[in-house]
Amino acid sequence: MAMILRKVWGSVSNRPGSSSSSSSSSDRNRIFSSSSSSLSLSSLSLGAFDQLPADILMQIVRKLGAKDAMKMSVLCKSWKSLISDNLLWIFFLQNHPFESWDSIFFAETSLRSGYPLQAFPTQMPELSFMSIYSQRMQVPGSVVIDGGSGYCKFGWSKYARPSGKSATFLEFGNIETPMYSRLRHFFATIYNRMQVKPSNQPIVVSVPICHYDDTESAKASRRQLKETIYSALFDMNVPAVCAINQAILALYAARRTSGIVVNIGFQVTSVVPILHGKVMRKVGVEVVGVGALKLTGFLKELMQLNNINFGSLYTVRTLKENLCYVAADYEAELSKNMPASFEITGEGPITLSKERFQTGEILFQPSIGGVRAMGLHQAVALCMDHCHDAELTSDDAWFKTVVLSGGTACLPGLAERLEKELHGLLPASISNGIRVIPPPYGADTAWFGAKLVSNLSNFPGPWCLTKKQSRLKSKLNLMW
Amino acid sequence: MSNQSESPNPTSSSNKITLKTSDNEVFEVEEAVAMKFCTVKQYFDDENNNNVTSGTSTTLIPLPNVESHPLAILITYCKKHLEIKANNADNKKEMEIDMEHYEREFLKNVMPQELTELILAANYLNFKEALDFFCRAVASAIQNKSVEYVRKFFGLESDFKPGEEEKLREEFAWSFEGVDED
Repeated sequence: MAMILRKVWGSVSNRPGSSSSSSSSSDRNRIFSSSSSSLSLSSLSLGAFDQLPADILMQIVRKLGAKDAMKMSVLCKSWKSLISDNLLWIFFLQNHPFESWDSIFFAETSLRSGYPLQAFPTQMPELSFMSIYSQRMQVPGSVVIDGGSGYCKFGWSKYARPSGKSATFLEFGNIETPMYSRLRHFFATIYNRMQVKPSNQPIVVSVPICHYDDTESAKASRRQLKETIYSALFDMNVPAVCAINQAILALYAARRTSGIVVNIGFQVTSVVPILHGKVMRKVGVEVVGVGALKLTGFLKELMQLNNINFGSLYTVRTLKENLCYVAADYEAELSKNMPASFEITGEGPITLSKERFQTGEILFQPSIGGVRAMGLHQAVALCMDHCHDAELTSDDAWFKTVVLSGGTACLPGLAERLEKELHGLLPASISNGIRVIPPPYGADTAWFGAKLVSNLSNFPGPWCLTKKQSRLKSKLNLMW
Repeated sequence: MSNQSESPNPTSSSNKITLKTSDNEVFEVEEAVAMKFCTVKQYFDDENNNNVTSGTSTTLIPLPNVESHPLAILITYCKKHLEIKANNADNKKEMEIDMEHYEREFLKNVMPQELTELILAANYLNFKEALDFFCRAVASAIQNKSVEYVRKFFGLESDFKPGEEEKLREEFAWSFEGVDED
């Protein structure tokens, strides 16, 4: 008997830690199922198992993984209380293959209430991370689409990153103009590219930053844009739609609900003050007429002056993305010579020197690029000044964090330079404690913000509008 | 991992250390083996700090929480562990493969009932690698098994009120999917 037991135990435990061959695991199953006929399971009991201290049981449970651990809570009451330990579930969440614990924690503590956000999330009851884990496991996968003015990033909420990108401006024109047919075509194309049926899952979609003003007409345009997005999607039988402003999504990606988002879009750059997840239009959104396209165009001009000619703006853009940076001190940089090369397929290496930082400089000095506009730092300072004057909260802390977003905002050195310029422009009382954060997820920042929302434990619940609700809303003629 | 090699110690590498179990059995082990038991190592470190000259003679270390049976097994495991480590000093991957192989064989000779006392002994001695290995062994024995199976394995009975368990199963339904047959 003991011999058989040993054999069984040996084969049960035959499961090598990580790099197991599949054969050994099927072996295990085979021996196990054959043994169950000849052996009663109770003889396999660990016996004095209850002698083990809780911390060792915890070690075992950690090795089991989340799925088995969750199951263990059904064993009996004492196991249930052991398993419901928050630290255990924080451990599992921290070991999520591609979601950072900081982001999960931020989302679950700050975003669960849906829109509008609770101003003081700390007042929420203590969270059980076990339930949160379990609920997150059961949240349906969603389609996440961030339709930027230049490029659209799309993908699955349960995946590590966007699965694709398409040039919005080329294929669909200006998606900020709420034309039903254009949006319908846009969404249909993306669903087609993702090879999914719109009716199978909810969608989280970004609303472009446009119609900034606090006027009635801008308000009407915004409402119309949002309504058009909803009706295009509901007409395609999407079950639930969550549409959030792109700037707010970028802020969420940086794990914040308040701050100033500087979104460098395709055509323009927007400076958007956000308090508790709401755009403060009364304070004012600043818009600067310099965007990604302008930078690429300017780089092309600069290169032409050096007799480097490319017909394709794509090539120039590639050089911009790989070689350009923002100087900490423009004048000082001019006296240096910092050439760098990048290999363009079929063209060989291209070397740029001063162009590398002159390109980005038009964000701060639009006049060198022949643009009549204020510099980015001036726009942000102006916005901060307005925020300060508006006295929306007891202190100025809410607008001291500046989050950059958009592909061009990824230029190295941009965040540092902006921070430096802001300190120069603003009185110390306002500039004290300012922090400029580079795009937390590069060009895909807003997409990741949307993904954060789509994976919330109570999604789609408070964040989504369903087709039924939308009908009801339009019937009641409620403003959305 | 342990840093026993760098730690200054009064005893030279050939020295033996004597361990005395709760059932009054005496084990003489190589210093390198004893140093893997952090509890023992700690004992020496403390002695060092107190400037007690203890290296020269036979130090007897009492282990009032460990019985001879699990200690004998742990010493065997530890010796093999050090041997494998020494044989593959420059190849971590090879070492892991050898270790895995040895651990598989090791478990064939261990009764499940013994595992509990081994875990307790390894825990008391603070022998991290062994503790980790035994915990892994228990985990893999219950991985992907049904609740009923795990209950029997642990010798547990449900003490939930009628309906409570069903409610939990419903709440955590996702974790009950794709469980192996008993």
